[in-house]
Amino acid sequence: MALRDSIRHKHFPVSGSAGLPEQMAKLEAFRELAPGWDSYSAPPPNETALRSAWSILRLVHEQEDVLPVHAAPSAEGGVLLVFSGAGSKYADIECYNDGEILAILSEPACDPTIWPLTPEKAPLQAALERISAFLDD
Amino acid sequence: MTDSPAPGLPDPEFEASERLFRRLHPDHFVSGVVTDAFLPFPSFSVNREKYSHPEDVLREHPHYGIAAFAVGDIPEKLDAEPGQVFRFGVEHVPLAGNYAHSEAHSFLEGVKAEPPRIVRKRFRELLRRRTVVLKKPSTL
Repeated sequence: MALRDSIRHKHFPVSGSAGLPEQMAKLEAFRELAPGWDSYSAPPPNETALRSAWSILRLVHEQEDVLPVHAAPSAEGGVLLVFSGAGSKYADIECYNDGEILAILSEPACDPTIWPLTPEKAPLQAALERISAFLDD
Repeated sequence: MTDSPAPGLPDPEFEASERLFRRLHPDHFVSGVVTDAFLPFPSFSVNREKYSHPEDVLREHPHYGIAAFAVGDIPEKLDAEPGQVFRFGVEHVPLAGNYAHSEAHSFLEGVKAEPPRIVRKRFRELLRRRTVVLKKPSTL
């Protein structure tokens, strides 16, 4: 389906293993979202959240082993980057419209691990390595 | 599904086993997994099972999926900082044309309040884990 058609329907089907240009185009397409894009009352991602997500996606694609990642607008207001894991492991980084960024590692029967990030390269790099180790473990 | 007790009036009684339904955006279902991006907080809307069918949430949104969890799946409380405990619950808030409409809220000392972002993230993740997808979203 053409991206233009997807925008009209407010759905952005880009796979987790897509290249950086496709994922950047997907982030750009989030600018088309209107308030209530999720059929409830979610605010669209703003420039702050998009910039944070853009920085993280670039860093993901600079890694030697690129983590499959799926970008989605978040009903919380921002952009969610979901990292695919084996089995029931789950990891994401959520970039909020107010500039806050949280990362999470989660697996059943364990309390989720959540920590804040800043949009600088060093903490983001450390977070990606931590996520990669968690998903590979 | 049962009839409402009185037209327009809320029914405050929820069984822990009663299911709550919410539309699932196609981007929030990734490789067979629901993401927490479908849940905003400190409050969000659902339809309650007692007065609706799951498919009712899809009116005008047929390509969405249906996410479901039970009232008892909602975390009862989460600590923010020492001595600060946020509690969570669901309220029946009927709307014109949607008697089943309900809202989940967070409370601090009995008053609706917005928890810190990290508490909200934990809440959303715990509820995500317990969420069942009754209908997958359609790809257009």
